Amino acid sequence: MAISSSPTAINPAQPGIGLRAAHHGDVAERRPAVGFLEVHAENYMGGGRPIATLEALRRHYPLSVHGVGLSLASVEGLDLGHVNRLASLCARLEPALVSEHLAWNRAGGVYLNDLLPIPYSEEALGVVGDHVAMVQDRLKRRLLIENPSAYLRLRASVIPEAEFLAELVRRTGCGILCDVNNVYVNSRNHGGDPRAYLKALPASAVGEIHLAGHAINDADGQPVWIDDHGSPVAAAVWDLYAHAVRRFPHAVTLVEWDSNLPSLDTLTGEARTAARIRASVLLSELSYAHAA
Amino acid sequence: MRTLHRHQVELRAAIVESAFAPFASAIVPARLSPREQLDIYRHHYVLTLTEALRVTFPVILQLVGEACFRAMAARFIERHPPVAPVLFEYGDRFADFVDDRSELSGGLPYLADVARLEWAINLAYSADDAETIGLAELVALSGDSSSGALLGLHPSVQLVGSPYPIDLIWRANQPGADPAATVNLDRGGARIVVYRDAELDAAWRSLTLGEDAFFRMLNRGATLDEAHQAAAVHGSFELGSTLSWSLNAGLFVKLPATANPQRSFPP
Amino acid sequence: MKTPVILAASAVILALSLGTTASSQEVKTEKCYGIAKAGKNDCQTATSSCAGSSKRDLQADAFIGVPAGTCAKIVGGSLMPKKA
Repeated sequence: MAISSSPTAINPAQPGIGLRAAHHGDVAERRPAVGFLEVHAENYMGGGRPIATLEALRRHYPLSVHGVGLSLASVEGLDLGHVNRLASLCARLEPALVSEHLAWNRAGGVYLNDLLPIPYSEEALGVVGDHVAMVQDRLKRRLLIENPSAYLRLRASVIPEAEFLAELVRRTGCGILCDVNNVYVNSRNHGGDPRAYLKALPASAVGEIHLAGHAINDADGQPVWIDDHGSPVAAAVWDLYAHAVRRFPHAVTLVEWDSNLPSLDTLTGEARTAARIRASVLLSELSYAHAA
Repeated sequence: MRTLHRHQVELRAAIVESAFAPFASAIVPARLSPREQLDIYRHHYVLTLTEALRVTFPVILQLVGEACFRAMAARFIERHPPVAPVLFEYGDRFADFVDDRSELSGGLPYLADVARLEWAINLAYSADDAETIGLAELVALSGDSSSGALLGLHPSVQLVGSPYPIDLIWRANQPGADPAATVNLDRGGARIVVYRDAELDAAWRSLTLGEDAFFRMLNRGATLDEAHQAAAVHGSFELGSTLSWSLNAGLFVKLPATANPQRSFPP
Repeated sequence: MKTPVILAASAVILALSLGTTASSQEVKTEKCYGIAKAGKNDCQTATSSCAGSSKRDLQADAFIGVPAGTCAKIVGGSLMPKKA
């Protein structure tokens, strides 16, 4: 067996896909041409097939470990046992990227299995900042922090979300994972200009862009945009992605799909669309620069 | 102004206990009412945890049907919210919950034990990895016993016993099972070992009385001799054949001489 | 605390004799495939699409209702007390 070192750097020109258990076999067998694979950390915190599959795949693809359970914004503190499990997983997989969410899901020892919103306040900034710093110390690496989708706004929020993230970057040296679908869904549900949001993020800190589909549901006669990762990326989100690429040209791109999981071909097709849009945006920027 | 702590306590109460009123005043008025906005979170919480339970307990779902399972899951989630973020670890108390609900355990007395089998399968699939040993290693180890080489059960191995034929009930509820087949409770109980096989699939096998005694003794830390003696009380027990299939199935691991295993099993 | 299994000398002899021991039973090993398809934490980043339809009331009443699945196929011993 040839010994080869696992790929650890992601080429931003090659978008990745979220790897889900139903696609494990297909991906291992067909090795689609995608730039990297991203997994939800908590699915791989045991032994057996899931982690074995990933350890085999990491010889062929750079990995991104995307945590959902750290609850960085929990006021009651980090679950250090869980931080240790994440650290062990990262030591085992040596992923190119590790990310988590600007959210919480633990209170009173109960896990709420969601990514819940916080009021963007000085107090929250202190809590999240301390926790991000602690996790980065434990993992000995930089975390990317993702902007969440939220279905309500809090009166106690006094700092715009993008500014909150920018301040978090200043305090901890963390990076940002900019989910453009979340930016879009939030702007539809709560108002606000999604392009202005992208502009307010510190461009050099954005290391990754997420893309996903959303649903528009009817809640007693009112439309509500739901971040369900269950359909192709919407045209308006591709449009916003083009702006994100212009603003964050060095960030890597990932397509997520979690509910109504499609065939692997459909998913990799979305990644190819992202690659095409990214290339054409950067080319047009280049020709614009030359013409100027 | 509301503290972060108060936000989290109140939003938790809205999601877990449907106590929407306290948090409503924290929300900026919008097109959707606070109740509608909070319902999105509450529904997500219940629906996703229900889905996790469906994946772990597919036979229970088959046995009681969709509507009853959803109601069971809702009550269970209410009573036992998750205490850890790793969802494949959620549901450890589901079997006890079924036992405690007389409307279920009264009419379907086997249901909780079927849930125990399904939970053991779930644990076996995701248990920590450990290097298994085969016959050659066993022989080498036993020849070297003076050096303190130790033998243990693989972390995936679990023993499930029931006074009901849960083995037959499980089989009758697998995809492809004969829909017309019935299971007669009068056949009596089952003794089962659940483990993860070489292909990393969860698997199980029925045990004879002697084999059941053998693994239960090993599980309590008995020596192979002691386990053999306990098993031999049951006439049909053959150490050779039991060791043969259990080594093939990957039930044993070598422990370092200094190991201090802290494994927990049901008695 | 549990003491690990310590191999006794008699095990050597018995283990070596395995090849000649006739298998006295044909026991079927069952594989369980259901779990492999699911990554349970995948649901956390994606909001349940039906979560937004607030008509659906998940506040069911305290009763679990009547089991109405394949339990109808389990026959006999219905009056058998639990753990008889």
